[in-house]
Amino acid sequence: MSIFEYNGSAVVAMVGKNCFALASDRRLGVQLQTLATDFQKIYKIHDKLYVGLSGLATDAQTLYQRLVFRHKLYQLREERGIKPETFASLVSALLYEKRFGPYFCQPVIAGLGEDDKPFICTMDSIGAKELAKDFVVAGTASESLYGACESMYKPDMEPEELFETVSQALLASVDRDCLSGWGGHVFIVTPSQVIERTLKARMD
Amino acid sequence: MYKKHETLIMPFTIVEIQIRNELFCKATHKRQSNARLFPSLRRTHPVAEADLLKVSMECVFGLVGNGFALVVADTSAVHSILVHKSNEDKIMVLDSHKLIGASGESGDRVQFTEYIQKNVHLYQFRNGIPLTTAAAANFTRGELATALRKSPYFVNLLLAGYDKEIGPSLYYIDYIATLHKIEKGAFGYGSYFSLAMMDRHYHPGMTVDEAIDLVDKCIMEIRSRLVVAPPNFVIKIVDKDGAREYAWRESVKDVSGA
Repeated sequence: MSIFEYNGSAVVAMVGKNCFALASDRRLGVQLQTLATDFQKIYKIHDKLYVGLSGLATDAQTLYQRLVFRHKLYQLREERGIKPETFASLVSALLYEKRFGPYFCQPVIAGLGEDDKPFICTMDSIGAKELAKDFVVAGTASESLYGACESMYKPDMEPEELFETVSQALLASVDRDCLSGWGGHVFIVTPSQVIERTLKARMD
Repeated sequence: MYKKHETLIMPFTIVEIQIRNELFCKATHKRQSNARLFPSLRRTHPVAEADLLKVSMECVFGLVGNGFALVVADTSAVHSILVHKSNEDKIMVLDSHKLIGASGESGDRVQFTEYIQKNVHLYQFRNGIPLTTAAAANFTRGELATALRKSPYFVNLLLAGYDKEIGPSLYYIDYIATLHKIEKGAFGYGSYFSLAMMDRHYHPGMTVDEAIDLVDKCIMEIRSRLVVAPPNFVIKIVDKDGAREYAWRESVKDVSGA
């Protein structure tokens, strides 16, 4: 049993037409025991930038606190929010700082950049970035998420269709993974609005 | 490093050790390739080395009711196969409106909870206002998280508190510093039974009497189904009137008379 699979998680980001979706499951477990079904894995950095942290929950919480701290410093210095690309480099640097004793997290970064161009990216626990045009996945359900996203994704979806697609992909995937599930949490971010929805799933 | 925590009693301990050995031998996830390149690092890293299947024989659980939160803990001080004491109070009154139920290695437990208690007091003396329950929980998590990569404390905590504006709340903090606000929670071997009982019988807004009934159900289930069940339990409550001991559930009188 890997330490990445200690708490269980599933995170997925998908790109649509001038928008993106970021979704996660809601389970917090310790191995096979479920502790809570309302655990947050997606965090807001600013209005157009979100990060999903899969992996070891304690490291996700520590990492999130450090990211918020660094983003606040950035905002004070630059007097604006951070660009998703820059933020990805920041996360990568923070992770690689701990190269020989990493945070056991696999982050998913999703944001709207300049001209509201969607940006999604994931990285491993030591900060190797993996950029994608369509979708990225992370967590214990990542294998099944790849399959579901691969078959359901199509380019240039509108927000509502994107929501349906990412939700169906998430729900289909977590049902094949013992360590994630118990509902979902979906963010759809467009240039003008953010839609946040919680999903009811198989609650077992 | 943590071998001493592995229990002698439960038969599946052998399986646990096997699983643990696999953790160091077989990298099943592609993201672990870095760790595979440096197997020696993996073995010395405190978190990677932490026994992922550490479950203590203690029973600590708690729940939130209507206007109060309660924490229950067993009162046995056990080392290996010996019971040293059966009236060890594992629930500390942090300040006037906070309780902290702790399980884990006894030295770490006492040291860490006292450290938290003294710092919560210090904050109150300096600033004239107490920490909220959420603030105390986050402070505790911070301390555990810093210690985690240095010399970890093996303590699992349930922090219950009452705030005037917020009402009662309960926080789950485990030894690797995972923090989560919960309505009901448990640690240790007792959790397999108490969580199941609470899942079945808990409902939001329970009265004290209902909650105590549920606590007694949990204790009864632990006593009747757990091989290594501790004999005695203490129940503490926190509500608008403060944190206090509520009752004991004893089936054995402590021989030492301490």
